[in-house]
Amino acid sequence: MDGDCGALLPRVLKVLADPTFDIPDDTCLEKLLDWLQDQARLEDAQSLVQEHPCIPHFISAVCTSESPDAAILAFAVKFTGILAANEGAFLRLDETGVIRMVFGCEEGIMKEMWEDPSVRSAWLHGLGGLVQHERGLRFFCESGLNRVALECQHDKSLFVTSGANNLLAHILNFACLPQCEESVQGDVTCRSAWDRLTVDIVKHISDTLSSDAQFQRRQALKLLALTLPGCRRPLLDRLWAAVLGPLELQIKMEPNSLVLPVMETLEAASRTDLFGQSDARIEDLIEAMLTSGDPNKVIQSASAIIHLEQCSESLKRKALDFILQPLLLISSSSTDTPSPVNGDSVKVHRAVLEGQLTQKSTCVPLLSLSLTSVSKLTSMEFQFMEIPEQLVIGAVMELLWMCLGESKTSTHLIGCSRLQRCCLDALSNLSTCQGGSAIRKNVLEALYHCLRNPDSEPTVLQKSLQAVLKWICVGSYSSELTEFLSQDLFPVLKRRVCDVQWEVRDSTLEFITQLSAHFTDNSVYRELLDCSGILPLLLASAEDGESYVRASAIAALGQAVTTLGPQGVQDPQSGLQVSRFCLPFKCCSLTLLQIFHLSTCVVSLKKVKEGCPLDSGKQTVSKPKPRQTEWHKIQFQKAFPGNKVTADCYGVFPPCSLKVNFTGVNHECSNQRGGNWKKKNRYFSLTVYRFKSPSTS
Amino acid sequence: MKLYCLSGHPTLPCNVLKFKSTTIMLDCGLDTTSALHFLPLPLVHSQLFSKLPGWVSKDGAINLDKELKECAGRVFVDSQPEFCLPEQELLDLSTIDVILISNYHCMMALPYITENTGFTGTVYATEPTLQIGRLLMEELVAFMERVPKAQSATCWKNKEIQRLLPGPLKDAVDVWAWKRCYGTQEVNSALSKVQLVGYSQKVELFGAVQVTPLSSGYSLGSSNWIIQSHHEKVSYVSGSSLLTTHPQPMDQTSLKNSDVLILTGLTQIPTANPDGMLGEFCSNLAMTIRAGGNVLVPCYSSGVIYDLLECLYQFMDSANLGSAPFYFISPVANSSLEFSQIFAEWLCQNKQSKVYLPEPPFPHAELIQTNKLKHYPSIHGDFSSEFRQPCVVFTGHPSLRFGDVVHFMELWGKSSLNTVIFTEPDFSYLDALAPYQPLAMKCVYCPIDTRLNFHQVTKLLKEVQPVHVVCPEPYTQPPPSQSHRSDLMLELQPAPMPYRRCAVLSLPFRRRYERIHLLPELAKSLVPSEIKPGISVATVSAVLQSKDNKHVLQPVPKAAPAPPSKKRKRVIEEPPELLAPKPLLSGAVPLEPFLATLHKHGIMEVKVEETADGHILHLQAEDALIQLEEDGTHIVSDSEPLRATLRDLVLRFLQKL
Repeated sequence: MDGDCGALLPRVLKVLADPTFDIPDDTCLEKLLDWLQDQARLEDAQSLVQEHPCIPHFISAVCTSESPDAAILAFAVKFTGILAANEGAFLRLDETGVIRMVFGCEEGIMKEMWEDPSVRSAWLHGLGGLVQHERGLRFFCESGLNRVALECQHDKSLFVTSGANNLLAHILNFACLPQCEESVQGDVTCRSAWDRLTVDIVKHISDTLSSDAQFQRRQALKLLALTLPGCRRPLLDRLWAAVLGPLELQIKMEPNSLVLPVMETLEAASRTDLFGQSDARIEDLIEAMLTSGDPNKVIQSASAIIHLEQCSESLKRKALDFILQPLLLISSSSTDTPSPVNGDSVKVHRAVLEGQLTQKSTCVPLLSLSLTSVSKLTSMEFQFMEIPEQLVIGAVMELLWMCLGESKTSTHLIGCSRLQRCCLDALSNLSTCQGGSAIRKNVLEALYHCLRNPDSEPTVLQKSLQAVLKWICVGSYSSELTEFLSQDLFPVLKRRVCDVQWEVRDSTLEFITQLSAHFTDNSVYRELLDCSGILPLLLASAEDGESYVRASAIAALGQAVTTLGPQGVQDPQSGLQVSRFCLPFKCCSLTLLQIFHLSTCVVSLKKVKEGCPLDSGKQTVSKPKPRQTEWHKIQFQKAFPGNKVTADCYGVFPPCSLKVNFTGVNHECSNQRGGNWKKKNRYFSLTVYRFKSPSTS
Repeated sequence: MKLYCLSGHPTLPCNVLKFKSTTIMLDCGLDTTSALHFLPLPLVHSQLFSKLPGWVSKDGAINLDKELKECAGRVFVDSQPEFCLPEQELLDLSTIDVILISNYHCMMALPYITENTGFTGTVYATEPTLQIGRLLMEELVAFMERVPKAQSATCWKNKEIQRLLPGPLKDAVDVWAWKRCYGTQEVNSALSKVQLVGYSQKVELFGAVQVTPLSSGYSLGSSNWIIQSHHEKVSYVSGSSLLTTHPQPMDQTSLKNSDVLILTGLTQIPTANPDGMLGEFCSNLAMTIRAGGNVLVPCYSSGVIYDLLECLYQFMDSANLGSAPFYFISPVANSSLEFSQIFAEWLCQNKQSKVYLPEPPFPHAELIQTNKLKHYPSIHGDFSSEFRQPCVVFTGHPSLRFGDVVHFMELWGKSSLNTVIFTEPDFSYLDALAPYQPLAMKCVYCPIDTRLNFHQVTKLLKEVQPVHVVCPEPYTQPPPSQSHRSDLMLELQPAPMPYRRCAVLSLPFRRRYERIHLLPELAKSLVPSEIKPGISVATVSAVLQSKDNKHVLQPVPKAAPAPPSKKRKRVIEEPPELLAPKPLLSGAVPLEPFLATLHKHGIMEVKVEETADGHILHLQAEDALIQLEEDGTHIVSDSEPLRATLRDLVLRFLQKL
């Protein structure tokens, strides 16, 4: 701790200990605690306590105060825990009696303030620090704090229960801590103390798991999931033997509302040494999770199973069947192709599922869950085993058609935007699948219908656009794609750029930017873009009423200019022109796209690649054209060595000054007339858009 | 109760309800789709239409080149457009007592019904319906009279010739019944028969039924009607909307508990959501304007146009539509825009409250003030000097066969920069465009129909729970183009009764009760006796007087004492003699106690036989029969004293009134 802070600390602590002083910002205690934790880690906590007698003084002052603030007390308790993590500091504090004062919760101030959940939570956190060493553990054991910690596990406050779970898991894994391993092995008293604690805790878990209260069972499962990954033999065997029975009962329970915590526990167990052990029956339990009567729960379990690393292939295959089943079932009902998912276990399940799929209220959550799981699978590069990916993509598309009202069956899904969103997410992710390019045409057709549908929500449209982008990037460029771009995509984009909802306009413009960026080097695309008639619309969008849309329009224009190359964007119809020239700025890391919307003049700056040729007209933007009124000269005066460039705008409308804030401009060499910048500098293209000024027409 | 269906068109209905001695016509919509078979009426000499070749049959035998012209593979009649009227033959129109109008689109055939048919009844409509309906009729007349056609084509209607014609013309039905448009005089005369009503106002018809208009939420002054007597209720739902647009919201609760609900005027485009279409409309318009093109919107001069203008007003600023002007061209443009602002009481709450600020309820007033929206009676005159492009033009008629729209189609049709956006769902846009082919102009179909869709109507019917539903036939099956969409039809329990043009439906419900009033002095004389808890019965003797479908029971007039006369007594009509009425009996004869009573009176041998209706007691010794049935008791015996005894025994068990 540096001198200033050291000098300041006593005063700070004094203020905090003063009950009459009110702290206006309650986050400052957290910040202070973070700082103190850093100090305790960087320096020796023991010397911190020794050199600053104000610390024990502060803690005892708070603990003996008549009416302390719960926040301050919680702070003091956590602080004590941080310090007590160091064995030396612990001893020092114990000498002063502070430890007992703080952690003896059955007497004194702690008893008075015990009702406040923040105090209980702080107490558990503090203990977590304390039980980092053998002496701390012994203190914990001897003071009988174990019983209180176990009670806290069933506390009303979730913060307290989570703190208790962490503490108990930590104690169970105490023997595995590197700093404690030796003492537990060597020291008999320590060993026996720890043994007693573990016996109590294991019994507690096993009892709670068999309890009737669902909340308590949930907490026990959480504790188990926290403990298992760090647990070692022989405690691991003992723990598992104690919980196996109740766990099995829980899995067989109908309805099982604790699917996710049970799966987490099993997942944790599967990562331990128990997994290979036949009597631990972990795989059996996991498989049993798939027998639930509720298809929603089964899909949740199945989704978790796919994520298990060590799980057998056959079980994964079965889980996959469950995930895909609703999807394939509903799509095969319209196409009359038999579903490839036909396992015996799946068949039993099928009747329930079919019933649920015919009703909108149950069908939508089920299919959403199935689709989300499919999305997750593809994002982890999962292979669909022997189920062809094209079939999955086909099923998702079929569902999308149903939502669009174009399918022969299942009219109850028409217009369901929640499903559409899930379908589009899944389709986006599925674009990476093998063999995607073979059905790209069909997928793009479905996506085109989503884009064209006037009833599509803005989010659906945005997701459709993202999916289109992903699928366009699949495989190589083909004439088919040219056809899609020119005949389907561009016309619909043109309309969407002018949509009533600004969100749609915005996401369409973003999409155009991304699309142009993707095809920067593609001459066919360049030509398509140029003749599509989109560019005048982009120019017009730069004057949109919504600032987000303007920003996206500028970005889209910038990208279009880059893609189209030096000739820029010209629009003979409206008399608008976009041209580009390079300004000799030397900048190191400029990632800006500055937008100016001054009257009718818009300037955007865009980074271009190194070595871009310098335009001869360094300062003048363009030559005046015959129709004088439509053009404005923009002259850039100079680039300051600092961080801005000013430009004056001459022309028929009043001069205005454009201020461009550059971040990270190299201060040393920014004079545009400087000698050697040509060779090594990066350039920025300055794209200047000029518009007819409304006042002149 | 009978329903005569004079029109099969679901949204342009014309039905006649005969109910309790009244004959009520419900709407008289005019089907103008027949105009699509005719060549457009150009405002100025048209290069395009004058050069079209005449039609000659393949073998050259029939030459109708004066009447029929060929364009892009289709044949059009070169004559003033004619309209398909509601059926005239099904029933004598002069017997109609009243006509109830639900909205201004459903009254366009009114002059054909009320004029030259002997009609002497009354037409009921709300004020906006009358005024805007008048505007639409005047506009139609103006469109026709502006460009009179010298000749009228009739030869093609000959059955033998029509059979040989190509395309849709061959399949047109009832062409002889098609009529040319009415004139101003007929409009005025027809509208003079209209009597104005307000929402929830109860109108008595001959004392027999009461009719009440209710807000239907579709257009300014649009209404559904309740037709009810004391014991029966018929609801007529036509063109209703649950969307929040400019009119007053729909009154649904008053439709509850109807015996029959006649359902017409659902949305014509059930697959298109009006909000989505409005969005499409705006984006297509903006796209064209930004690219420097003009936009043509063929539309009616009232209705959705108000919402379109309002939507554009909001969209314009955010979407940078620049300075492109909006033109609204119609002979009645000015009146339409101004009428909309003064019918405040017929508008939705939101717009009504603006009036108190005071602000014009519709934002098009501001558009006019700022010169963004300009309106002209026609393309001639001021418009031609102030016309600036690119622009947006709203003009009629949506069929593209007459009105100023014809001119713009010719003017802008050649450039692909321009766009025509169809917003009215009444006409197939492909048919409307047929005579203008080939066309470079972009065409966009954004039909905006705010009327109830099937989903909404199913929900509505679930709430109001009518006993029977009557609807046009097309609503009982999915549209032919989308036969798999079972959600696009009415599925009800019991199934709705479909009707088609010329059908006469006997509505499946009987009138069982009639209300009769008792005069107070008569009521005073009654002596009710309770036969069941809560139900009392009294006999009454009175004279029933029926007048104006009202029935009153009056005390029997006392016979005036005969004037003393010495002359020979003339046979005078005696007033009906007031006899003391025989007591009425009620109750049932219980078998066991009755047998016991017989036993007590010495009748021992009784054989009881059970029959379907009761019992037959055979008194064997006396050789008599007693038939005890639910609604009668018969005693069969030769001996009069025995019969009297038995009668008295039976009477003991019955209640006398």
